[in-house]
Amino acid sequence: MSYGAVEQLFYDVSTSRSRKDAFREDAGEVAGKYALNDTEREMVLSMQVEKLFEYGINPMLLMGFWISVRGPQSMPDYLKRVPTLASRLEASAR
Amino acid sequence: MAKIVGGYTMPHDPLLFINPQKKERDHLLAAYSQIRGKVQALGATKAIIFGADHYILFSPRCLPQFLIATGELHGPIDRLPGVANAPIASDPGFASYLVNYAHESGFDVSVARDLGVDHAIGVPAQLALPTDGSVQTVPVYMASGVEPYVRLQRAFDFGKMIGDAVAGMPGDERVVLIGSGGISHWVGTGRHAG
Repeated sequence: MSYGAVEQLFYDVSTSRSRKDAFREDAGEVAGKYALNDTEREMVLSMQVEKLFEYGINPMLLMGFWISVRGPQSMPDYLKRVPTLASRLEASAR
Repeated sequence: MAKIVGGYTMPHDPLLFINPQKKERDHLLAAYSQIRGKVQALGATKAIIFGADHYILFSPRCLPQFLIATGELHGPIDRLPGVANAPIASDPGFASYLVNYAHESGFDVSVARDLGVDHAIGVPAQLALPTDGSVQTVPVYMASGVEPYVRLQRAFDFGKMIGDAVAGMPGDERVVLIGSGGISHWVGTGRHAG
C-alpha cells in the first residue's frame, strides 16, 4: 500500500499558502491533481481524519493538514476525532 | 583541541508559543533564557542542535535519515509568536568538517547548503543561544518524526561519531550539544495532549 500521493497533497496544502487557498476554494479540483484512488479521494474530500489515520498517514502531517484547512483553533476538534486510536509510533516499536 | 563543554535537552512544542488556552508559561520561557546564560558562561563557540523534521521541511519526495546544514541558516520558518524568523549564525567550515567526518565514518549524511529551519532547530537557536553571533549553530536533522525512522542503534552510533569528530577537530572550539524534542511523543494522535 502506498499513500504517498495523499501525503504529498497534505504536505503541499500545509506548506503552500496558494495550495491551501485553492483547496479551501475547490478541494475536488486540487485533489484531482494527485494520483489518488477513489477511497483516498473520498477520505480527503470529506476530511475523514479517523480513517486517514488508520490508513497510515503521518499523524503530524494529518494534524497539520487539518489545521491548515480548518484553522489553528480547530486543533481540539481534530484531537477529539482521533482519541482512541493507538499511535503508529507505538505499533512500530513493538 | 575542540571540546564538548555542555549538553542540554529541551522542548520545542509550538503550542508553548501559540498558547491557545492562554496558560501561564513564563517559567517555561525563562528556562530557555537560563540555558542561554549557561551557554554563555561556558564560553561556548559552537552549538550542534539535533532535531526532527515535522513534515515541514522535507516533502514525501525526499526524506533524509540524517541531514547536516552546511550553509547559511534562518528560522524558524513556521510562524511562532515571540520567536522571529531571523538569521541564525552558522559556520560552514565547521559544519562541512562534520559532514566529511561522517562520510569518512560510514554515515552518508545528506547536506543542505542553505536552510530555513523549522521549530526543532529554530526554537533552541533563537531562544537558548546568544543572538550576537558568538555561538554558531550546526543543525542536524534526524528522521525521528517521519517514517522510515532512524534505528535506535544507528542513532546511538551517530552520536558517538559526532563526539569523536569534535574530539578530533583541531583548534579550541567549545561545543555545546542540544537535543531538541517535543513535550508529547504522540503528536497528531489522540494522546497528543496527554
